[in-house]
Amino acid sequence: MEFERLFQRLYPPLFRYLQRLTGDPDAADDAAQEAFVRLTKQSLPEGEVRPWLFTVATNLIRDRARKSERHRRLRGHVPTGRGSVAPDVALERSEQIALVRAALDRVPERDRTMLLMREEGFKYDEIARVVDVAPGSVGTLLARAAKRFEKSYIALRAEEKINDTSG
Amino acid sequence: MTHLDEGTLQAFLDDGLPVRERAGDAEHLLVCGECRAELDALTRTNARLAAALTRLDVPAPAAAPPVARRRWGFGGLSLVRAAVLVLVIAAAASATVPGSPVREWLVEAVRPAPTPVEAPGPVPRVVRPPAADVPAAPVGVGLSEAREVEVLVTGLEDARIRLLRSDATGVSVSAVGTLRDPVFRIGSDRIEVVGGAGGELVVEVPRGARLVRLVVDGRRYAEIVDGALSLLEPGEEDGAGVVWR
Repeated sequence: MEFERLFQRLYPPLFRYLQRLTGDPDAADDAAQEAFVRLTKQSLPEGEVRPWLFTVATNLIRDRARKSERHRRLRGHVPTGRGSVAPDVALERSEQIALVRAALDRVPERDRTMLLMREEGFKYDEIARVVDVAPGSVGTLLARAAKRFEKSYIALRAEEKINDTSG
Repeated sequence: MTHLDEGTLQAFLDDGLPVRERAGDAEHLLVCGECRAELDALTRTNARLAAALTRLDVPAPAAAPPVARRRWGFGGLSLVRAAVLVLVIAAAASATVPGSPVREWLVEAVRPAPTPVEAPGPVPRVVRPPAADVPAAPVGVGLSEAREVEVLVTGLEDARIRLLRSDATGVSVSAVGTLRDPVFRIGSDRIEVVGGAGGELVVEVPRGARLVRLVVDGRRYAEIVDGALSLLEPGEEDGAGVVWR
């Protein structure tokens, strides 16, 4: 019952975080499920469960990304962020999603992880542990990452407008 | 005067500073317009980022806890194992009796014959509905041109509320930093925020607003009438607006 309660409480935010990180609901679900399976083999105080789960799931996603990166290199093709958008989504909305995804993809992986963890309410020391940086540098890295995201987002939106008018 | 760097300002927004350091920085912000402007810009950047990220969200699949399924599976398997064991023991006992139907069946069964290979059964998997591209609750809403707006906040826990006056054309409300799970509702002249915990709720109001009321759990916190701000509940000026804790 205790585990079920934890699952009901922590699965939705973990899924949301991973889905934002990857843009792939299936990968997010797989990693979240796997992290919970691994949790069954752990004995952790309740306060440590949430950061532990997010850390394990983030590492699973990183491993998977490394493997798929190798695979992509073998195929000689690197998809853009836009590839993850479902084709049946209404055009305007899908463009918005693609824009956010593409801007997020321009933020380095470590900083992206930090931004998304902060959005999930993690404290600076918890974020620092996951991405292996000094806790004192988290504020600076977050500020720069947020600005970088915004700059990319504005640039991509401007590009899109130019394409719309020229096309 | 030494200005606050962007990391300190970000930590100030995210509640990532020790209390004493935070108090010192708040004092600096009261007297430094440059840092206030930087904090204001950072607040907006963070709010826009949070709002943009919600566009990526899809509903979480209806997943069951893996351990619950596994326990159920092991329980079921144990029963099957026990039943098979009983049958094997009974059959073995019967097979030792000459002329018994089990013995005849065994003799027939051990003759070489093509054995069909069974396909492995389906692997138990979480049933996952197809992902619908529906946004989760947004982290910010706004009324773009409204000049008379009521902002009603109810059930917000362990969070700050910041009233920010800006050159924006409308009233907006955003969850910033670590504020989790607020529900936003919007009408033609009101914005409601229900629930949420931690972090900060930023209410951004145009400087020239005609009439804006901020009501928290039924109590009027602030009122802006023809651009003039009245605080009805004591708040704290921290350089980037008025804050209630």
